[in-house]
Amino acid sequence: MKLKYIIGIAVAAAFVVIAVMSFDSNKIEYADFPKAKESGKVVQVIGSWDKTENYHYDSDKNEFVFKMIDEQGNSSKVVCQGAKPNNFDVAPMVVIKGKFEGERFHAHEVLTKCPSKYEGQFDELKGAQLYN
Amino acid sequence: MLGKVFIYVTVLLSALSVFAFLRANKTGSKKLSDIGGYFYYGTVAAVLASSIYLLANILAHNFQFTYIWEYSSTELHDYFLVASFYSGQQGSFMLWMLIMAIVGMFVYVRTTDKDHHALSMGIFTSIILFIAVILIFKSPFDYVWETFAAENLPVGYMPANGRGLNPILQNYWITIHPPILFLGYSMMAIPYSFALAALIRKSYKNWVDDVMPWTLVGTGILGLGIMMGGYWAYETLGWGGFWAWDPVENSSLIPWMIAVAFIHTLIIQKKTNALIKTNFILALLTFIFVVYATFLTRSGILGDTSVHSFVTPGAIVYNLLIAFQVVSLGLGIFYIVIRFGDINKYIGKKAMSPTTKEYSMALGSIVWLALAAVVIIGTSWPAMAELFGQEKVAVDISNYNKFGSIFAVIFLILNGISLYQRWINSKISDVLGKLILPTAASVILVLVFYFIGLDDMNFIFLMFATFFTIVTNLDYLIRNASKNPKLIGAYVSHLGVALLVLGAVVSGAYSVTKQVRLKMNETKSALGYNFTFEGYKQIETQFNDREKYKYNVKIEKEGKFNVASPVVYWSDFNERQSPFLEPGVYNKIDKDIYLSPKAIEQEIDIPKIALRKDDIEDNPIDKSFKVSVVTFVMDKNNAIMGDRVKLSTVVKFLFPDGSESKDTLVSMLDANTWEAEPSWKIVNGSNLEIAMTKLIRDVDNIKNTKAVLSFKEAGKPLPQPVDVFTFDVTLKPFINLVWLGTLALVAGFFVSLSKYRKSSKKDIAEE
Repeated sequence: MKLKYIIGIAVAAAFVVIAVMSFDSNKIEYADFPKAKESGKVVQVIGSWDKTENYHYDSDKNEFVFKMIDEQGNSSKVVCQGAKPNNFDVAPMVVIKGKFEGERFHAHEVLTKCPSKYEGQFDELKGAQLYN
Repeated sequence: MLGKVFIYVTVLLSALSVFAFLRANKTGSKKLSDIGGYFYYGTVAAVLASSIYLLANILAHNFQFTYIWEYSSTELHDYFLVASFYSGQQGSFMLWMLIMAIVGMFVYVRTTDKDHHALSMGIFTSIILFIAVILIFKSPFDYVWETFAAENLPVGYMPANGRGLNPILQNYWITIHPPILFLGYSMMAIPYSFALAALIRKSYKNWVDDVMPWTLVGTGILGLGIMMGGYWAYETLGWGGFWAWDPVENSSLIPWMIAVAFIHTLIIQKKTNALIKTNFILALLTFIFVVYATFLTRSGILGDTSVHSFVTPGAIVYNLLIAFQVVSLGLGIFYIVIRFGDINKYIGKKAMSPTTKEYSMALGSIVWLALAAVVIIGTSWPAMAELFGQEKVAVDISNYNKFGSIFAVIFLILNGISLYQRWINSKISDVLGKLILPTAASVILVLVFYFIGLDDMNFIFLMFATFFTIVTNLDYLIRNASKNPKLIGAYVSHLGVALLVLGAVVSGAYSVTKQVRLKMNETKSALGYNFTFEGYKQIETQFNDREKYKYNVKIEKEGKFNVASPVVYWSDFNERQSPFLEPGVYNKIDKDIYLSPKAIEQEIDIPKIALRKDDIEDNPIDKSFKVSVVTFVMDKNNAIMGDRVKLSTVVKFLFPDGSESKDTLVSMLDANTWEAEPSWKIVNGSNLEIAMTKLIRDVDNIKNTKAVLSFKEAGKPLPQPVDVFTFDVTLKPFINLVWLGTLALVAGFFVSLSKYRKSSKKDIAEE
């Protein structure tokens, strides 16, 4: 093989390694609430809004607070800066990014799924009906 | 039933068409090629029939079809009904297939006289076949009683209404952005088909001329589609920015970036006969990454890391999507590998000289592709981790900006330099002299900004690079505008790139946000502007399923004023539990004033004060006495009643004559909000009443916990509640450069097209 190919491949490989390491060094892991509390690091938690407790927005502090259940069934109060995200009520799943500060999870990002992407569930079909 | 028949017919006819085209290529038979064409037209007819059938059923509100029930409703406006065609997985595959079929007709007609005609069409049609097969397993024509077979719905069951389209998507962009994006995706199949055909036919040169105009148009359109998505997100979805580096957004950017590099390396091959293999690889990769984007978006694999990704489509479709990738990638690798040695025979022995135009362009393309690689790595990371059973991770998007800001400096400067270089025979001495003026101009511009306050090193380099690109491209643009208007496409595009980078960097780094909370008709100032909440006005009153209001905020500075109107939208979609919020933007030339609604509340305007323990303050109504909080008392056994907390606040009143009195205020606080309805008590020795209405807790320092004490005149009713509107104001400087830049960038592709339309030797010789 010609020298220029070897150099080219070496440079490309070195670059990919640098890029991968860069992404790896500040990747954000997923965790459940107990793990998030234990580590104290910035993590992402997947779960859903616990509808037994109302969310509320505190306009004095510009905080949106809700109770969330993670995928393992652990629950925690979540505080995020800013208003309630669009689609929060209809989203079956939320993903939050942030860390624990004391007893409450402080999220700097709340992700609700883009609304076009849900498929219909049977229970939504019930209610008024028409027959052909 | 009929819809599914059309899909099966599509599969059958496209398979026959592929077969005929491939045989025609093998045998060289014109007749077989024509037969392939007839089958292709048959395929187009079947695709059209299935699309029209779906659209007709959407317009007729036939909710027997699960897909139509899921994505439309009787309340939807006509053009949103059209959008529900492609609002879900199945329909967007349909749209892709439809656009592919139509694009293929143009390819068919325009390549009839080419020797790769049959083979290119065979490959192109096989992609349509693939999508049609997916649509058999993921059909928009399933009935509700089929989808929910376990629930024993009677055949013919007709839901009364569909679920409708999410209110925040109900915007004209939904009728424009997806079709244009799919048109771009579909056109990316052309370089793939032509490249693969050329490899198979061992015709390594002629395809370059054939593929160029299609690639220019496709790349321009894909760029336009991506940009529209960004503008939509910024302007109405209220996501705060135009690009979030979301994996799904990125997945559309990757094929575009590769296509852009491909155009540059194609030009190098045309001029110097170099980079033949590179061009094959890039042409193939462009579409392979379209397929990859399809997989990322539709396999459900990014479910947790992207806001846009679909839920899992089921095992069969998942495997089909995997197969789609394996086949498109496998074919590409196979033919590149077996033709590798053969291609080498056609390559000139002379290496590129580092002082030539082609060298700068190739180097710029490599840096640009390296940036694409960063996007690929970051975008694939969560999906790869999931595929290999690793723990789920998300990437930090600051990586993109970090690499982007370094690489942009390099490719922008290389672009500027390359303009002054010549093809093949170019000496340093020719170029250096010409570079002095634009370099000096850029340095002066950077210095101006340095003295204004720019101090970040990375920014200084970026500024220099963007100014350098702007100055050099403007130079060439002006020189050629009247002489050779056909040549200016590249300059317009590169000018656009520089403006886009400048706009993105400045608007991102120098945007400032402040929250403003306004009662009706109240004025407050923030970030140098006065904001007045002037009230709201209901719009779209013709619909029963919604209450939609414009919240008008007057923005005033130095006597000049304008109104921005964020939208608050209560919809049946979420049973009007909470409103959907859309930003209001006041566009100025040098900046946008972006109002992002946060909360709408009603508040009774009661005078109140917030006190910590032992704080002393005047009562806010007539200041005839002072108030202080002595202590809080909570009955440990009986404090919590459901979601209410009973709290007693002991307060002390201090009168001017030195007398004091104490009282205990009982509040039933909401356990979530720590607010309570006032239970009024008369303050002895005054004509005021007092109540404790809110506890402002400080979990970290209990001493900072404050009691909100409300006051009113004894015996008088409370005032009427007033509307309170809370919003974030963000100033986004030079955001218009982003739009102007992208428009120029996209326009450049179409301008360049004119150069290749007749592909006359004269134009090329002039360059």
